[in-house]
Amino acid sequence: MIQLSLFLYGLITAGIYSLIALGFSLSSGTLHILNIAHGDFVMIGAYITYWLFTLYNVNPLLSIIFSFSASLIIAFFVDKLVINPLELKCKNIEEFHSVSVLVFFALSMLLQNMVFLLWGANYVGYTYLDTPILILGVPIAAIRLIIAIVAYLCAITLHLFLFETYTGTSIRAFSQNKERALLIGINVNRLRFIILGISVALAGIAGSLISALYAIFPAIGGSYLIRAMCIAALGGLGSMKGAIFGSIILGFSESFVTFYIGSGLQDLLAYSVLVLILLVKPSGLFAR
Amino acid sequence: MMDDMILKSFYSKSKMFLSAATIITILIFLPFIYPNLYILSFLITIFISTILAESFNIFSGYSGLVCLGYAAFYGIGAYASAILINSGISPFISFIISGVAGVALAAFIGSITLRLRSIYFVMVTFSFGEILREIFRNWKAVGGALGITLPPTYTYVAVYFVTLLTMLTCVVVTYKLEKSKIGLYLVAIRENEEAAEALGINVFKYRIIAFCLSCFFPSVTGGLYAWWMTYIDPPTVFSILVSLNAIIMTTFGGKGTWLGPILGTLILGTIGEILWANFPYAYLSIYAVALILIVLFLPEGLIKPLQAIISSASTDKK
Repeated sequence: MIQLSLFLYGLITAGIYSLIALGFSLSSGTLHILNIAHGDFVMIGAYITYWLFTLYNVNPLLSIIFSFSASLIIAFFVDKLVINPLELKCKNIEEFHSVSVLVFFALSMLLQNMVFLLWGANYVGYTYLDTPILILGVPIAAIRLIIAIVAYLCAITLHLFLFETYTGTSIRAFSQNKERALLIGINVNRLRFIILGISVALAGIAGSLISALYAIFPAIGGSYLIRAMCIAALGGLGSMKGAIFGSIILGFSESFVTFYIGSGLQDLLAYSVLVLILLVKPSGLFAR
Repeated sequence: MMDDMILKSFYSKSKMFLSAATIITILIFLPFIYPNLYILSFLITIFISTILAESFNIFSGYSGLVCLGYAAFYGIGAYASAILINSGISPFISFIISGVAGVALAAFIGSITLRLRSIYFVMVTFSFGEILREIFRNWKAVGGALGITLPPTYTYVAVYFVTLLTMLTCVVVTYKLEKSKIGLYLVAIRENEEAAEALGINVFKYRIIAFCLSCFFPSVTGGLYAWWMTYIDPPTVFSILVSLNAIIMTTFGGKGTWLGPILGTLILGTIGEILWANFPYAYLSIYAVALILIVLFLPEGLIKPLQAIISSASTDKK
């Protein structure tokens, strides 16, 4: 019985993690940037949802659209104002790595500080649809169930987008070989915005979902960034299938570790898995 | 490399040493002439940041890999010194032991991570700091999340001189490294790893030497910080900001030159202090925007335009 409920909770956590990790894995695997601000986009999405719900009573599930579009707008400015000029200036890929880490760190500081100035540093939260539903005899809040469904739907949509549309195919081509993608006439500048936009927008959606579950504050980004990095490394950077499996592994192990050992060790678990994977098999468990 | 050639042509070496000696003399006599606690503590933080930035430069500036894990060594040094000082060992001996502990940890981490590709190396070094923070937070024997309190056994002037001495040592080591064979090997590896390896340079060996050297000073500085603050806890000493500030200041000043990190720390540290005092809430936003602008418009650091100005001035004279 306990095992079953831990299993279900793990599955729900895995759904949210997969949204965050898919975006992170996509941007780091294809664009070769280490988006340190990824967790902060989750935070922005969460705050937008919280704000719309408490001020205008907007349904949290509806405000997914708002956090999606807000993330896209931020991604557009980040891409046009920062990433594009930076890529033109950098001589080689190593230099681009190191300066893009700096830029995304600055972005993370900026976003956290703006949210802090606008809404303060306190823990905030709201409750929505928390009536329990029995599933296989396990009581689960209705909102958790809806969130899991939305998260998995988004993951499936992303998969269909990548494998069934022209743009998705060109993204995969771009991730495999940038020069050849350029040669066959793929508009790399447009593609970079699309990749960054998808990555950040998924984080925003995840933020909307998270705000309904946990209390939020301006610095929540860090712990989600770690999980995204851990999952992306587990599955291999840029691998979508790997990211899904990775989040399921991390979601389950977190829910079992929290129950049997203690909640203080959650972050330690994620970091240790990350380091072990990178040392033993840097290309990820699911690399071809 | 470059800045030194231009400094030679413009100043000549003896003039450079003279100005360095003047600055050091001023710094030595300052606490006696003007014993202001605010100025002293501001200078101590500047010294600590310079050591961290210069250490980052020793490894990343010359070897090209970005290490995000200096917080791990800073924290280990702080904890080692705190425990040793609390058990009655002289602070100065415990700083040295902290440094050695840091180097041992660096040799361990380096030997398993330095063969990784650059993006994985960033991720692994980043997580080592965070892992240590989580371990120390859950480790009840060393205070857990409450941290460690130390007895206040110092005077401000003593801390000032010890940090000044450590900083000068660090700068001299970087200067010597830049002139030495190891420094040249590292630059060769940074510029073209395959070519360097083909010439018979043992890439892994020189990287690990630079990594261990660059981790000694942050560990000692962590110990100094613990001694100065008399209180440490995991979130402060293992903060990712320790590593990132070093990167920011080095990038602003100019990577791969011994002078760059000093310039960067001095200018950004002063600007940061002024911003902090005037805009306590929006401070981080302003700092972040400034950082993005710096990266966009001065990707090679302040040292490049400075060189251009100096060299044009020297040609005008002739």
